[in-house]
Amino acid sequence: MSTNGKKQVPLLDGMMKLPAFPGDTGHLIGCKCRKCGELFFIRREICENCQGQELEEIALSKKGKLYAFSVMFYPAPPPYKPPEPFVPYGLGWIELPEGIVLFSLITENDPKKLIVGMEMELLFDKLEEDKDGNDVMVYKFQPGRSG
Amino acid sequence: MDDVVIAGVGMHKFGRFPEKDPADIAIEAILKALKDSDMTYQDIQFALCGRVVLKRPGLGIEILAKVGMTGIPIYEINAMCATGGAMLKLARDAITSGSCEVVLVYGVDKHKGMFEDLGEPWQNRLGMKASPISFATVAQKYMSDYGATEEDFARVAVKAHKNGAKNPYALFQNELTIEQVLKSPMVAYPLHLYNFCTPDDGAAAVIVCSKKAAKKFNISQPITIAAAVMQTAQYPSSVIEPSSTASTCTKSKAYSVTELAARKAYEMAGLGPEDVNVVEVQDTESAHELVHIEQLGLCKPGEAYKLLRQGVFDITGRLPVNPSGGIQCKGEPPGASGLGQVCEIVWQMRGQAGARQTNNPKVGMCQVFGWNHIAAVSILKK
Ligand SMILES: [Zn+2]
Repeated sequence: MSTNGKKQVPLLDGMMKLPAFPGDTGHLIGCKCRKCGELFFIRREICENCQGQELEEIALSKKGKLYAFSVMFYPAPPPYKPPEPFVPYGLGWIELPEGIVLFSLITENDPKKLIVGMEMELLFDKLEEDKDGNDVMVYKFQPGRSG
Repeated sequence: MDDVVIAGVGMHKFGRFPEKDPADIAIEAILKALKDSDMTYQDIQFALCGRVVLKRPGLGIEILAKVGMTGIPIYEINAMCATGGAMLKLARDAITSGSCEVVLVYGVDKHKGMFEDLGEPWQNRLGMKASPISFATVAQKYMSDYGATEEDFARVAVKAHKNGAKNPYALFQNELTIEQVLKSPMVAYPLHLYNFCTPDDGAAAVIVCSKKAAKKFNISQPITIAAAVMQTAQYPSSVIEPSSTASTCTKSKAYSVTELAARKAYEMAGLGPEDVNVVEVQDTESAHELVHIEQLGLCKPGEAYKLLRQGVFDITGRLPVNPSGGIQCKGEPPGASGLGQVCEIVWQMRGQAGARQTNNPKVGMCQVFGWNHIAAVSILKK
């Protein structure tokens, strides 16, 4: 999906597959070790568990459950660029049905509205424009619309 | 293995000394430790210098040369906030290996502000791994799992400050109330400003020697290093332990680095958690003091905040925790903070802790934890 001829590019290579055509939802990239079967978020060369070097890329689930969270009430140090004015931001560990947890920004910044175990859904959001005018995209999770 | 003992300890106050050269801060701690041991600098055969944040190249060697040029080997060690405990293990190993008999271990740092580069570059661009967040998610999980409250975390800070108010080496020597902690600004939910340690300046030094050397030098009240262990992550890493890990597996049981280190330390010492009389733990913020007490096996998971409410961890309690006030009061110069714990436990065991003195402890424990799954645990005994 592109607007005004601009491309969407991921913040980090190997992190996510962005939607490529209308109706496509995209996904986060996992890699599964062919030797021991362990699964990791973001493409990597070596298995943390068995040091195997054959890892197969797979699409990770777009839904998970909130495992733990925090809301940051002060800007992190650089290279984080806080919005003007600064708005507190949520972060959390999301547990996927595949049996891994991954760390993510979350869209909700009111701790009272976040509960461990609640359904969370993946979305992609624009972080900034790069020097070529492309939209640099990041992944986030938001509380599930059903919940 | 009762072969290695602590012969002397010394500290430079932890605090803010912008005008003071870090070398001078370190030298003060070293000279105090030498005086405390009744040894001379000529007796030192090997040295280790810990620093984490200070950038001055060759500083550890410079400090040593300023105290005296005796030609001994020295290594600089950086194991993040676990540096002090990591060096104690190296010193003990050097002596048990037979390569030397007297080791000087010192740590020094000048630290201000947050670490700016704890995570991977993409994580830092998103502000994901600033240290308060990593610790706060663990605190949130602890509340959710066990029913602890923000008030319990405030109670940890209140207890720390009650002790720190009696510690001349502490940055903060003021008492706090639960209300003051809860009214201090929320930094990262559920933790407030007064729950956090503060980065600062300071130095600590410890002289470690063989039991044989301790006899030869007629060391009074030598304290045995019954165990010293350093530990990094073992797959699968503990899910929410502060680190740059982007994901981890939840299918098999994960152990925290502190649990893994403690298990090895108890085995090495031939002692169990029930034998420990006083402990200094890494209290980067109030919640982790409780988490670390549990990870050391000193009580059951989810029990620490209840025991805290009962006063068990007070100086007058059954198991005093952080009688020094911890880094919540002392502040944290990461290169020196672990040895600061060792100084406190040694003073406690010798009965030299003044107004902070606990009830005649025979076995003490020190635990440090640092960024990216690293911990060191040591057990000291009379
Ligand atoms: Zn593998």
